[in-house]
Amino acid sequence: MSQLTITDLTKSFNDDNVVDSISFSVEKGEIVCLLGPSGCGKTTLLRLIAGLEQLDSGKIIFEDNDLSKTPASKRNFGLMFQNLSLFPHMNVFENIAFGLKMKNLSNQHIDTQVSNLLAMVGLKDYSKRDVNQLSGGQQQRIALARAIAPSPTLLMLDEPLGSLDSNLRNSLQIQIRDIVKKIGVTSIYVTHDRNEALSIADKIVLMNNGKIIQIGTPNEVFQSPVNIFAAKFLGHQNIISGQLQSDSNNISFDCEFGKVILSNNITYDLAANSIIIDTRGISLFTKNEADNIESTDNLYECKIIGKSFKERAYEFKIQVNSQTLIASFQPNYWGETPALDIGQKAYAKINSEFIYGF
Amino acid sequence: MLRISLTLLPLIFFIAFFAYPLFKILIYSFDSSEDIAIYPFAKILTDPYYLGRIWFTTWQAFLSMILALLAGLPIAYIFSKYEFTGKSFLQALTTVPFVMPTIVVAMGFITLFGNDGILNTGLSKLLNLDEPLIKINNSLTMILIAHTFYNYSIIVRIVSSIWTNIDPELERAGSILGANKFHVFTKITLPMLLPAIISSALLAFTFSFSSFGVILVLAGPKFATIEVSIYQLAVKLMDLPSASTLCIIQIIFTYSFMILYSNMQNRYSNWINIRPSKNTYKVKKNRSDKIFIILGVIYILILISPLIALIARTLSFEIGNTQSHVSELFSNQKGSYFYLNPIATIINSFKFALGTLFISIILGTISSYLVANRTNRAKNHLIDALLMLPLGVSSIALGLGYILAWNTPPFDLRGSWIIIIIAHSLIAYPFVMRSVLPAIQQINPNLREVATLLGSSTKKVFYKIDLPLITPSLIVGSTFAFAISIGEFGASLLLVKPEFTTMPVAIYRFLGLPGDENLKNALIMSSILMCTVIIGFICIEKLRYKNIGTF
Repeated sequence: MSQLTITDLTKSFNDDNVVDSISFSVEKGEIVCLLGPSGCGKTTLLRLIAGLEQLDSGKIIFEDNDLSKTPASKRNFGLMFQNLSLFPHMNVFENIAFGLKMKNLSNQHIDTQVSNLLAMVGLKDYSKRDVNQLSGGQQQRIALARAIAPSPTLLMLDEPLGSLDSNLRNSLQIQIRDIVKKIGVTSIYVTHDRNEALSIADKIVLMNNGKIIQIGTPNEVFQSPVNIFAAKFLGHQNIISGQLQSDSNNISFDCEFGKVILSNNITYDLAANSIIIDTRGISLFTKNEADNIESTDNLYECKIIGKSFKERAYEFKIQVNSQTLIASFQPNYWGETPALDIGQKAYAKINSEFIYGF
Repeated sequence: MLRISLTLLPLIFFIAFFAYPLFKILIYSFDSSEDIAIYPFAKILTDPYYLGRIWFTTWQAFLSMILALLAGLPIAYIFSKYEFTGKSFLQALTTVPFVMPTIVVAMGFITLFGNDGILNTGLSKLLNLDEPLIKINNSLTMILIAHTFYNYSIIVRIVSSIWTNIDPELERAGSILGANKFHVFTKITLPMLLPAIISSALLAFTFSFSSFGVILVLAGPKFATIEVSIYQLAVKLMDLPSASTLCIIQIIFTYSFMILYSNMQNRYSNWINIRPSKNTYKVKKNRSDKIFIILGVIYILILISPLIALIARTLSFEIGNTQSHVSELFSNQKGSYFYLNPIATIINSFKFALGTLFISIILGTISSYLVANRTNRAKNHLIDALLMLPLGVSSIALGLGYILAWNTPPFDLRGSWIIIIIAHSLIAYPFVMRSVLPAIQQINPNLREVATLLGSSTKKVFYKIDLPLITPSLIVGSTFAFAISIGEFGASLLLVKPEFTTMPVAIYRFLGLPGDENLKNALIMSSILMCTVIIGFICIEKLRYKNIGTF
């Protein structure tokens, strides 16, 4: 039995179904990411679970209790708000202690609890600070401490890293995951950032237009997107539509720029009409190099129309007939630069092990 | 050179027409030259009558403050939490009392609650009574109601501006953390509102504390405040040293309140997350909410009823008579000694108001640049606070100071028209500054740099960049200055010669004269004054940026 089960949850504003018959479940101790573009209804879904919005229809069952009549203050859930919403008239200690005070715990108990939490988020000496004096990252960690202080049975995080710069985001993501896993609280994490979702989640719920598109582990969702939206949203760049063909010895894919022979190691759904070619699966060659390649399978003449440097790889934009593809070039040694440049003719060889069909 | 002389201008004005008169008052308050063996201070502070006046001033101000809070807070709640049709109109309506000249407000109360007022005449007819049912003329009740009428708009304006901007997520964060509605209110909402409530209450207290026109017209000498006592001492008893002493006592009080007030302001300035206020409004309106809103609307209409009464009464005179009183007012046919020429009075008022507008805009703008241009923040605050000092000195004290300071030729300004404009400008320029300064501070310095890089001279930068950007707030400031001057009562009463009588003073004089004719004249003039101020006020509302010109 799952700890949280959501069934046919629907909520509309002005006749617009923001959350449209959503069903999914969360296991105890699991971190579930609600992932989707802004306006897809993920925040509303979270607020329905938190009890900050009234649901129109459907059920939210938490540990066998129907929550629809329970006010937010009685659910014993924690929520880390998008804008943090730290109480500006209280200092760090008072902010974290707020939920504990609401439980009428003894002052001594509250004191130890708060200092434990401050130590956990790495802000031990900040207890008397004014929250307005903290940096963005520090405020974020105080907000996390405040949310987990009353030992909630469910922790919800609504784009908690939204306002931070990318370096800080990356380090805080890991910190949040570590802390949440350490205390073992079941969590729902809302984000529009696929990398954040992929690195934090045990399970991803991908949403669009108020509906669930796909549910799965991070690698399932990334490697086997169910449709073009999912593929694009998870960052796949070469999404090509066409027709799957199978003859006696191999499977191939007919598309706009020709025939692509697929690998026998990968199982393909014969009804698939789209493939993804991973950018690492396209290698580029000059004319001379291409002449020395034995097999001409999946070798196409192309034109380089763009080139940019992306941390550990170069990204080439190439045109095969009228199809634009992205190929990445990973240097073999420090300082290697690709021989090809914009405007040149080249040959693209597609490695069939990097093709996924759906 | 230009820059230095521009800087000196407000400085000289400030010293000559604020610091020096104040200093003179201080000197006089220690003056024992009159053949009395004791200092005026000792005299006042041992006289049970004046101690009584000080005590009365304090507790009536306190009571007025409490009443203003009771009247204002529910409306502040409605404005902060609900969205409904006609809301912005009602909000504007709520602010009307705040900008109304005291004399007009007093007239409104006489027409509504007076022994011959609309309420009493109506009730007498209805119930067949010989005597007026509501006898609150010349009573404490009348003072308190009038002060409430005046002050609740301050409470509404300040408290609702903060309440609207309190991020509703904070309250939600509280409820998620287990706080019930009561705890959310007492631990989150109220503590965040408290500085706003206290500072608006302090303002209400300060206004009631230095109340003058309302008390002079509605209550009479029995209920004299310190301000009225100063006037009586100075004008009726010619005891300038005692008047000065009372002035100093009053100034000590008001400055203490002002210091408290600005402390409160600083406390909440960094608390408030400015959020689009639509987040605040309750989306769903159930039945009790609707009833609540309707009650609020009725309540507001009752609160501004004296002004409606004033207009209604004036119009009823017009309709009920064969010969128009307005036209009578404008025809100079009376030979009476007391007769005031109404047209001349109106022209006087407008002349002085235009003069005030001119001077206070120049002074206010230069002062704003003085404050805005400094990089040193502490110094900035000091200059700002210094330039705001005139706000804490009552108009009677100012008038008294001018009489004491500028009474010897060749600088005998008593009774001249210049001194009236100067007094009005000194009262008005802090308001101009409060309108213009935020606009100047909001100008992105990069804009000026861009203009300079594109080849503009300093002068051109001012005309092409600054001026267009601050024009709306200059207009707001001008309107404030105009409205303040045209409604100013206390200082004008002390300083004007009969030939320079202004509208508020004329209304007061009309009221002091017997006969229906004079009452009607007072009514008509009050209505003219009220309409002028309302038109000005509409200009302000239309042009007001966020937060500009609020206090």
